[in-house]
Amino acid sequence: MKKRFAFLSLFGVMSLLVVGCDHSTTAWEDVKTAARYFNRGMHSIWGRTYEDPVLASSEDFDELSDEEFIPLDDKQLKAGFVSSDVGIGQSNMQPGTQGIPYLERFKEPSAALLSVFQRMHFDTDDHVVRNKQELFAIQKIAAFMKKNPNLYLCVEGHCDQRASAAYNMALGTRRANHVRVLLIKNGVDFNRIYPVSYGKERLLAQGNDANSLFQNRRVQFKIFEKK
Amino acid sequence: MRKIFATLIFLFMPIYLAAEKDTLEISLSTQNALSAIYFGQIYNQGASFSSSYLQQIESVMQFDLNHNGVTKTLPKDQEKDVLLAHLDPAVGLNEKVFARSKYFFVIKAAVKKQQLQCLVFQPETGQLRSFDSIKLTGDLSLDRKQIHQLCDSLLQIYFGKLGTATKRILYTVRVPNPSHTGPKWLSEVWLCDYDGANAKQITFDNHYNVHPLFVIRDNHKKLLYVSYKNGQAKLYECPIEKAVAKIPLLSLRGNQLLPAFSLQYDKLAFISDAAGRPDLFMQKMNDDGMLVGKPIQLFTAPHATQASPSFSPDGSKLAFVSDKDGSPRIYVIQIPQGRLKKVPYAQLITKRNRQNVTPSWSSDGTKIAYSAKTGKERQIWIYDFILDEEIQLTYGPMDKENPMWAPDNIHIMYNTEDENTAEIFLIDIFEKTPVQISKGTGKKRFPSWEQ
Repeated sequence: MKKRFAFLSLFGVMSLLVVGCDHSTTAWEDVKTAARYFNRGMHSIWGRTYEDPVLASSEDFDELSDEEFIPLDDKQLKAGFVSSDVGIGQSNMQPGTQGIPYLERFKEPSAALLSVFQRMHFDTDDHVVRNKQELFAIQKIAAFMKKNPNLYLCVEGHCDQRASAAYNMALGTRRANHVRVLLIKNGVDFNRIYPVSYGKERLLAQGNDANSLFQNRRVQFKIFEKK
Repeated sequence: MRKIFATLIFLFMPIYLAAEKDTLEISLSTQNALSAIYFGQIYNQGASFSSSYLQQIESVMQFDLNHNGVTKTLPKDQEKDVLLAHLDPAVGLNEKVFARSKYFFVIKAAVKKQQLQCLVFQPETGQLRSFDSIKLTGDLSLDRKQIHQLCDSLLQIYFGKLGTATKRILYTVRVPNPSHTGPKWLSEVWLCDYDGANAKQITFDNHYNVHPLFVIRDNHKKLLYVSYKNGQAKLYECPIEKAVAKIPLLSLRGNQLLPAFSLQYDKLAFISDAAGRPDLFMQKMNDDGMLVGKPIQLFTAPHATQASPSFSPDGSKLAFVSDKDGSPRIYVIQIPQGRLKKVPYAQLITKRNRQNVTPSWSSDGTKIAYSAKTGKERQIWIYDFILDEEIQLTYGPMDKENPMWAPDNIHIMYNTEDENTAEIFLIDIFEKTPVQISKGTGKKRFPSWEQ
């Protein structure tokens, strides 16, 4: 009993010491950064993943194009991406060319198609689709796109209104591209998908309650059928 | 087994708790002594203009003299105004009341017919200087430019400092689309003086434009901005006076957003999803503004979003936002030469707060301004490289974002934002009293200084 009490006391003192260190030094920040990685590991034990559950390999896809820009050539980094975060270059068919209109002419799916092109939702400051039903919906969209080879898709990434306008522009891009990659992984031709981010510029719900914020953190779709 | 489990908890729980803790607290005083000056009024000595017009000119001058980071006008005094009325350039001002005062200088401005004459008297030395007279036009938009020039040269002569009164600001105004067709919201680029006056719309794309920047090469002033005019976010460059751009600056596929120029305008950094993620890219440019080589992918990280680059003044480093380690924070990388064989090491700069975004590097290289979540609101903070400290600049309600340094390294322009309004403010980093400069309807955002 005494031993247990001593152990708990020591544990409490250690916790207070560490948490009580309010001064910010490089070493301290490094410890905190290490701790964040540790937390991610712990979360994964309890089922929360930081890896996309659908993505497993990028071997099916070409290397990033070297024609348009000079890509990073870090082998270690590429290995990291292969396991978890595939990046796939953008469509070769630019909007406004080859019979594809500018994206403003892409339309909201008709009522009949809304059950296929469902909105995807995200956690705060996150870009991964985690809801199983929404992941299933991705497969439905992919199947529909494969059945309709003349259909082109605009994937719009949106954010809620809490973060800054500038950061949300980038985060919306991340979300749109994540969904785009999921569709490509499910067999949709990458030339038929165009991501775009509107950040927090096009809010769906105006409130600051949890539901409104959730509604705004979304990816939604517009389509164009080439005749 | 229980012992092992207990030992593991013992070892890692303190670290876990440390990581969850959000530390917020710094208060660092900054000082900059302002020189007290006296500027009573503009005297009407047979002016061709109305008294109210002279008062408008006077208020322009008052604003300039109180927002240059160097001088502060002291309250008007009737006795002193009477003395100034009798100031004779040939005799000087040797009245005891000024000679004994602690004013750094005293300004007398008078308008005779169309000429504005400005005299500056320094009580300490007894020196009296007469500035070249300015011919007023009666058109306030033109005359205020002349006043700005006068105030900037005053600053240069007496303090050897660069003024910002003649600088202009680019920003965007977001308004509902009055048309039933097209997007629900429109956002166009506007231009105004540093005090918010002379505001005019310069793009008429009838689309959504954001993040405007000045591009100045050989005195040719151009505009770089992000537009959704072809659906995706692309960069466009055009003359400021005729802001019409149809072809994107870069032929890169996908979206390009959040641009930043180096001070030399030889490098353009931006965020692009050309590789499938929002990564940090850079495009080299020559003196004529032509693209040199291909865009270079500078930084990427698994599961991370990169945003808002800002160059160091010598163009050798880039500050940018990344959420690679959790909450978005500001990192700095050295811009490597040639093709990258390894992702550059990103040094974490902002450690105190979470959600650190929109960095702006001062032109003297000593500070980075950024926006950070501070309690309920986002406030503007400054990271000081010399002190290695993060200093809170703004307080109070409303989120503040998009800080941008003035060329004098004393002032910052930023915008507030909530669901319905966004206004642009000017703040002196030492005085810390923000002044709203934007007027009119619509959300005014993304202010950018003429460098």
